[in-house]
Amino acid sequence: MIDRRVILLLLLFISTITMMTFQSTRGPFRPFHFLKAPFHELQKDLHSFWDSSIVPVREFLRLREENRQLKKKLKDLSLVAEKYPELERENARLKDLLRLKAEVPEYLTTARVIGGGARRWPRIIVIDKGKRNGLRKDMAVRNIDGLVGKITEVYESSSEVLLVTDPSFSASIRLQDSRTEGVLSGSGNGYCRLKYIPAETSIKRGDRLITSGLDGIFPPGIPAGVITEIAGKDELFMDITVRPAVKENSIEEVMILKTSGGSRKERTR
Amino acid sequence: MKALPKGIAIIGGTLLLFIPQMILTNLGIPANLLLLPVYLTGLRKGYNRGFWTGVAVGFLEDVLTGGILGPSILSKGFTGVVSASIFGRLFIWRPVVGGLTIFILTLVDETIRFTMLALFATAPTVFTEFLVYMIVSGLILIPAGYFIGPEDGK
Repeated sequence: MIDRRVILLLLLFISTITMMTFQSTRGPFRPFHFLKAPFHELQKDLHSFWDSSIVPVREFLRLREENRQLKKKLKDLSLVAEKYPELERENARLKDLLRLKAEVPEYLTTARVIGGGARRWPRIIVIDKGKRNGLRKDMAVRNIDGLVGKITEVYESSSEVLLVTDPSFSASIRLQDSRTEGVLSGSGNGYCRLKYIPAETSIKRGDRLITSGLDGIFPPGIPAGVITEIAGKDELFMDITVRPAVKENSIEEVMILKTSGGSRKERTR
Repeated sequence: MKALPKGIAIIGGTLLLFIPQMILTNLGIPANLLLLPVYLTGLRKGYNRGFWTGVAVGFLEDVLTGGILGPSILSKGFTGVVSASIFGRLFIWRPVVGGLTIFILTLVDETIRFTMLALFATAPTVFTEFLVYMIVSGLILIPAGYFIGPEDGK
């Protein structure tokens, strides 16, 4: 007589393998994704709770420290600069975004990052704009530094952005100097890989990458990263490591771009 | 009648675990807190309830992480059954053994999840980073394993 727990495990194994095999060809099941919306709302609430309760406490502690320093260095005007560094940085970032908005014809809206995914993988961020702001799946996301990722899920008032460093992300790019085209994909460790660059192509470390616009999702000319390592020159295609233009743990505000491929089926996944 | 509030408390508690889980993930700290209710239920209520708790927690985890449905259901369901089968038959529970067990169960859970993602979707990261992630998340749960024991202490 077979142990009942062995039967349970076998059933579990067979059903999940069947489910995953189905999804590997047809894409992830969508019917349960409505469950995510309440969690995004929760994240939003946590974010505003953080802003309204924890941040003032931190601010109070910072001001107390600043006050101590003010007493100590009363005549030092540099304290003024120390008092508002965060505001100054935010101001500078927003000014840059405004300048960029004027330069980018595809600009749709600006959004704030309100959280990340529930687990480390896939590498996603959650932003505070959704369907009601005109966002759609597959829209490109960038910030002042360059390419951030693309929208993979859209809810009423929030959206998920798949980051450029995730292995399931890919975008058509071009080497800024040599104009060679390739495909940029995440490597899962904070870096990206540049694929399909023939071994005879002349490239070097420090070469810059920009989006080519050929994938119909990302408008051309968005800075995507810098080549940091080149290997496999004796292979058909080189193995190239790229440092993304955007640091994934320092994304605060992003810009959503309208693209002609905004509503298309996922083509880069 | 007692079972209903208890069940609601378990489900509510599990859902609440997602909050520190999300906060830790956003802070860049590897953690697998969702393993705890599965381990606890398996250990104290037997393989059947452990299995179903694992399947339910895994389902929520899969849905909320945004990938394919299945890797966490399999890994957490497996953990639920295994955690019910370790003590009593194989080992006698001691705090140190409990810590070691939860460390190993975390490694198994993360390995199943990583392997299934690599096989049926995309490998979520390079193997070396996964190893570090897996070991650190296992180490974080050791103190919990030290304190969570079977009801009868065996």
